[in-house]
Amino acid sequence: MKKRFKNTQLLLDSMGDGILIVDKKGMVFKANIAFFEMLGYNKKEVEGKDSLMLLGATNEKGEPINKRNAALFRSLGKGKKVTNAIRQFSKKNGERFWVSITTTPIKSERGRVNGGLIVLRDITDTKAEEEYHTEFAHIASHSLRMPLANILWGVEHFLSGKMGKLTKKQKDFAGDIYTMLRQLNSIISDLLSVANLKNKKVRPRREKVFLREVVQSVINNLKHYSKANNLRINFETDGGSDFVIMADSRHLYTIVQNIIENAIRYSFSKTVIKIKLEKNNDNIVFSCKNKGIGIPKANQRFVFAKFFRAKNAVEKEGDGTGLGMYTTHELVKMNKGKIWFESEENKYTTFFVSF
Amino acid sequence: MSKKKKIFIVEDEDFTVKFYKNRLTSAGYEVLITSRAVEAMRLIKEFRPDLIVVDLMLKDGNGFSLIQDIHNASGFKKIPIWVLSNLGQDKDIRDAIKKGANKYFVKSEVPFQEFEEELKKKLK
Repeated sequence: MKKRFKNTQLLLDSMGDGILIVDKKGMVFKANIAFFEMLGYNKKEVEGKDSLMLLGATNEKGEPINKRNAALFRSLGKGKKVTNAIRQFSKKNGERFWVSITTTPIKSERGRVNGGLIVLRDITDTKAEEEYHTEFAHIASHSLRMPLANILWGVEHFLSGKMGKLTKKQKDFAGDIYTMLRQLNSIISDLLSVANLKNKKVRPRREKVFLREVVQSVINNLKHYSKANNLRINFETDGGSDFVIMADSRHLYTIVQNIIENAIRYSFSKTVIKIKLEKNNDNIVFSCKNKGIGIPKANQRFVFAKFFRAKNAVEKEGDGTGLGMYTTHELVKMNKGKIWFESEENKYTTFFVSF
Repeated sequence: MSKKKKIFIVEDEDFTVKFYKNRLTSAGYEVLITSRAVEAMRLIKEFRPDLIVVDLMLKDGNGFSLIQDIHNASGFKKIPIWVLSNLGQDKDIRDAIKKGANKYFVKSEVPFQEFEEELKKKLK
């Protein structure tokens, strides 16, 4: 018997696809080498664990996978094979990747389901290729930028005084509009950069950036927004440092803006958002803490997933693409930084970014 | 007074056309604009412009191949071809330059004033 099992393990380990064997509750019984390599775990970290929790799966729409919609539990419950379900899983290091999975029930001689076998195929490259062919970035680039570029030119035309001299007040307002349009344009460019990232078409333009200035400028630009939400923003820094780093300044702007904007959206009214810039050993750490709805524990793994929005976030603010934190995460990674957070539901959330 | 410099533009988006006409005419250029890529070659022959501005996403054809046609046609080789487009990816820019464009502007990145100054420098 022991020998038979040894042979089985040998067989599993010789396969190129990741393989996971689970019991009928979905707890991991065995996995093969390809699985460990794919996800970055070792045997100890996997065996006996709840497979759903371990994989942190979302489907193609970015919806979390739970017992109700898991391919595995369809196999376990109905005793039927489910082929090529497309999922996104989390690696140990938090990186998400695309897989195609096939789940097969394991039955006893009497036909009772004892567990299941999951075969995972990494399809990250195929997905990237697919996205490239749909040319989202190409089409979006044109359709989003076209009206925006026209408005920019139009406002610029007003400002130039070529259509008649403007009063000081008119000039001031038109100037604000122009600044905001430029920001919108940067955001669109960054989103397109992210869309292109997987095709390796875009690289950050690394330059010397004064992070303190970036943060201050984002706060200034969000002044009206925070005021409208009855919030105060408090910015603290160590001494007189400028916090100089090598990164893409437009990316940094977007990163800081997305984080503070989220803090504003999900804060309780009449609270203070605390923003800090500090040096920690050789790193520069930006943090943003707010008092608000927080991120429910069960949702925390998915915060950086594409199109994901936590349930309490949807309840508070109906609108939202679920792209903000995904974009932020990708941009931080691209600029060689780290991003993480601490949160407690209905209390607080703090986002940290270090460079 | 010296003769007016001539700019030929291939552009099919209404606002941009209006804008070009308004700004470039009042800046003292003689401007001819077509929205149709198919008649561009014939019009260039007749108009004999000093500079050509091409958009890339045209309803009746693509700007990339138009640039190549202009660039390869005998007699037009010396006319500078500039691209002013909403496409902003590195690949688009590289492709347009490879096909024969001399300069590339991403519309949303360039204030019109700056474009006008570049024109002035080139056509003085």
